Amino acid sequence: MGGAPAGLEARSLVKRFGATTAVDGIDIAVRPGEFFTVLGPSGCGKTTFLRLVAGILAPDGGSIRIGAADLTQAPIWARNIGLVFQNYALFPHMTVAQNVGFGLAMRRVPRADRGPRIARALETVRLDGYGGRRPSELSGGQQQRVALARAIVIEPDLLLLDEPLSNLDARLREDMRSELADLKHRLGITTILVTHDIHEAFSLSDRVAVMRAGRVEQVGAPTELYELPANRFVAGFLGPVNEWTGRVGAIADGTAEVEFAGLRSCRVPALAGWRGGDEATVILRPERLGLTAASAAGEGAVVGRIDQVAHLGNLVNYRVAAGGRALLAQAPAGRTGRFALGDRVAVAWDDADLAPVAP
Amino acid sequence: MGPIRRSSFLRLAFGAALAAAAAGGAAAQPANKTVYFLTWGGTVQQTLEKEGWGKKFTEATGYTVQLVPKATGPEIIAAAVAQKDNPQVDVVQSDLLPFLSGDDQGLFRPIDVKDIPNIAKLASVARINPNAIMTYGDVMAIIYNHEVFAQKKWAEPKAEWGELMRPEFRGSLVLPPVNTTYGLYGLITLARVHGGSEHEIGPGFDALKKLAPGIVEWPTTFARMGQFLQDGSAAVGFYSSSSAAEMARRGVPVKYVVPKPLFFTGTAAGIMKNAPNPEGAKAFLNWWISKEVMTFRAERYGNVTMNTEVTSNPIPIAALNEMQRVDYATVNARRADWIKVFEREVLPLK
Amino acid sequence: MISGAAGRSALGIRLGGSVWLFLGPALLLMLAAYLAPLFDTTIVSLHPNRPTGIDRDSWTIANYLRLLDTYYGEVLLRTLRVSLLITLFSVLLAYPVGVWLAGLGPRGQAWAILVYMSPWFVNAVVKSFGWTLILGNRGLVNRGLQSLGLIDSPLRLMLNETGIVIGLLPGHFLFVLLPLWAALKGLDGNLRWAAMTLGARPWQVFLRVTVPLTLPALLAGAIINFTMNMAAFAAPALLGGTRTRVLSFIAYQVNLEELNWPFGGALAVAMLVVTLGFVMVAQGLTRGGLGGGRR
Ligand SMILES: Nc1ncnc2c1ncn2[C@@H]1O[C@H](COP(=O)(O)OP(=O)(O)OP(=O)(O)O)[C@@H](O)[C@H]1O
Ligand SMILES: [Mg+2]
Repeated sequence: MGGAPAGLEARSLVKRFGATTAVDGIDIAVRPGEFFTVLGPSGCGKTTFLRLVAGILAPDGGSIRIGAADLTQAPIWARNIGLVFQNYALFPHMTVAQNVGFGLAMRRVPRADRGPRIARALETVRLDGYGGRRPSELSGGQQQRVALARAIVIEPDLLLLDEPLSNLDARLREDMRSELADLKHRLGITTILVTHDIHEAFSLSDRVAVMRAGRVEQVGAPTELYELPANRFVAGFLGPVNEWTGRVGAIADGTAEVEFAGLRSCRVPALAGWRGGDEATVILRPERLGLTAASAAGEGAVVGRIDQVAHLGNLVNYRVAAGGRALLAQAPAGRTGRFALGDRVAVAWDDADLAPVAP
Repeated sequence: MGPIRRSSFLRLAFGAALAAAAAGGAAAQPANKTVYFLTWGGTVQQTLEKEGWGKKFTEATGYTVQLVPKATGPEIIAAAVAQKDNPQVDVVQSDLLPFLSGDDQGLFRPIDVKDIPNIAKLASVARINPNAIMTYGDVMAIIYNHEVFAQKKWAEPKAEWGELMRPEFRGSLVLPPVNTTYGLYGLITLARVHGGSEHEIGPGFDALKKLAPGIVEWPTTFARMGQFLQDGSAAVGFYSSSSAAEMARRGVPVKYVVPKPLFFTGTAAGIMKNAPNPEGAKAFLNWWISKEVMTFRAERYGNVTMNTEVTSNPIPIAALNEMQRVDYATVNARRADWIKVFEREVLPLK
Repeated sequence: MISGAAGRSALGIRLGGSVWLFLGPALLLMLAAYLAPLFDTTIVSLHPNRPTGIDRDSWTIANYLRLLDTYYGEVLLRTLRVSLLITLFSVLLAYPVGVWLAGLGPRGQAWAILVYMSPWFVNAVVKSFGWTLILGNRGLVNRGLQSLGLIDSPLRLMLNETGIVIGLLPGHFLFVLLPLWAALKGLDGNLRWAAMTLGARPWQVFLRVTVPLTLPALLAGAIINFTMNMAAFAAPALLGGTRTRVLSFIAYQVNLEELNWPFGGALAVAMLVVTLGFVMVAQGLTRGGLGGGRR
């Protein structure tokens, strides 16, 4: 659809509501055709950011460019942006076809051309034949798809999705997510998704920006964020982690020897600014912790006792009390290698899996 | 409750809703000692309640009087008609004409001097028929805003009905409409001044039609007329002399003249047939027309009372002998037609 | 009447069975206080009126034939004209005021509503008297205009239909404003933004989204407003004057001054029929028109 996709460049965006600064100097550059996600906890300013981009809110500072054009001051209706609202915001007095055709009518697309474009958009979201219905006669998932069709039919430069899946039940959410992934490939529109759901962000996005309190903490591809979080907040937000703080010993060739009380000393890539004797924090994802029976403890393993077990279906979460710490481990729920509460186990890991994080 | 009784109540409710009138509804169950008096609020209410005459009545007779106030004569009679089959009030007083039409519907019982000794003291004109007496009345007067007159250097009106036709009054007149008692009397008066009468009303209508384009408004009550006289929208009108006096008392800058021939508008009273408290009713009516009460009404409100012992009447009762006599039967019979003519042929003239 | 999410959230209250327990007495009261007199009025209107009162033994349609008289025709036309004019003005004012009101903060809204309600805190007679001081020949407006040299002789602002419209409009406007205000407040604010991202200018949002979604509420308000205008009594009597009588006043006169209840009943029934006729037309408009009925 459309011409060459455009990118977005938001520079030093600021938005204040009275005393709260909802968006506090955001710099985000979305590449043309990219599926970009803004991820963050509730209230961190995601919707505000989206509304600034859409033009619903006027920024208190900064600039917004879409493609080559500076749109900071442009009125909403002149921005050519498709926006899908968290609550869909379908026009209840219009049929599905009228909803989808609204943007075309506003753009003075000739009547004869609208029909086919509406039909194509509805087909794209797999709603062919629903054009005559009213939004109130549709399920939540169907309404969601109408909202999507309404946003893409105008061939926007930029598609903005505000938590599009959060109002759906778990099954539907899964379906819609895979549909969005499909669409992403078929449409190739530059898309910004806003969500607080990591799975959604990771499964759909080329790149993700993690936000906290109005600021961007880190931008990167999902694996990059997961493996090398810039700080403890990003690390913790992307899933459960083991977070160990220890003391830096010798540093050589960018590798630091860090001593963790109760565990063992590990070799960790040194962060810039680490000096011998400093405190250092590293993280380790639970699935990278290996558990074996205590009797089979290998070299460098730490022995402890399982004090919590949670079965997640295909995975099992364990908590192990060892060395005065609570270690989190995750293992596939296989028939072999299952442990019970109170079992003595050996915990092992590869130092290469440890990621140093800034405090 | 029979069907008629129920309907009456409902009609009343309907009327009350229409009127948005907060005026008290039908009276409560009468106690033996209470006399229910259906008449106007206004000056009667003031007399009985504020001015303490209700208490004096209780002291004099042992009964208490409970006023059932309505806004206009027709409303008073409408309320009486509504309870015709099951009266809740004892004594009724209203304008003469509506009273007589109520009497035609058989609302009232005969009263005579045996039951009500003070009737003997009334002037003979007050004895209208066996069921009705006139208590007091008013004479019709031309009322004018003397400030406007002074400002416009108009001559004070003479005591003649023909004065209303003065050309300079065009655009400054307020006359009561024919569907009110005073408007009706005005029509008859104008007919007579121009050679007709209630039997030949044509000249009256001709005069009204001549006046109509110069009339600011046809106010239905004296208070409303006073409003137009006060704010300067109008300068001349006619109403009763006592109303004129009351307007002046309320600060409206008006004076009045009583034109000859005198036109007397009576207030009639009687006792409901099957009144719940007939003895109390007789006692009340006797007290109401007594020298004391009537003297007060004459002095305080300028009423021309029918009690011959009253010495403070604004007009000597003997003068009433030269007053115009009206054929009430004819008036009541023709009234509806006249109103029709008035509404269709006079009212639209501007 | 209203479909869709916005309508549902505003008006779609579901009544459970136990609600009748609470509604029952109110319904009975309504039956007793409204329908029974109405029925009775209708019956009475079919009897002739005699000097001795209502003749319940004979039946007639003479009272209705009398309505065909041009005098009553004129009064009916005037009543309709004045009522429709007030409704028209109310409707025209409703959107600007309603949109402004819905945009205020909660405190501002409370105060503004109080202001719009204020005509009801004053008795109709007192209010009309106040209007006289403003609209009369020597009233505030005329004296002001005269002292500014804008007019020579006073404008007739009362004792005519203008007076009735001016007298009733402020109070009756509330009945158009309140439902519209509620509907505007109930609108999903995102609809506006959705429309604008799709390219709609603010006036297009208003015409294509705001109006269609709130029109049913506006029409409901207009119907109430019109009914109130038709039934209004005191203000028309005082501000319209004797020359400009409306139907409800004539009905009052016939009932309470002429004491002719049968004809008064016929007037009341005629008034009810005409009013209901207009209401039904308006409801038909809502259902068939832009309000968007459900199929
Ligand atoms: N119109 C507003 N007026 C005042 N404060 C606002 C307004 N909109 C947002 N805020 C505040 O700005 C901050 C960011 O809000 P925003 O809606 O952007 O968060 P969010 O990340 O979208 O959250 P969620 O995941 O809950 O939707 C919050 O503290 C919020 O209370
Ligand atoms: Mg949000």
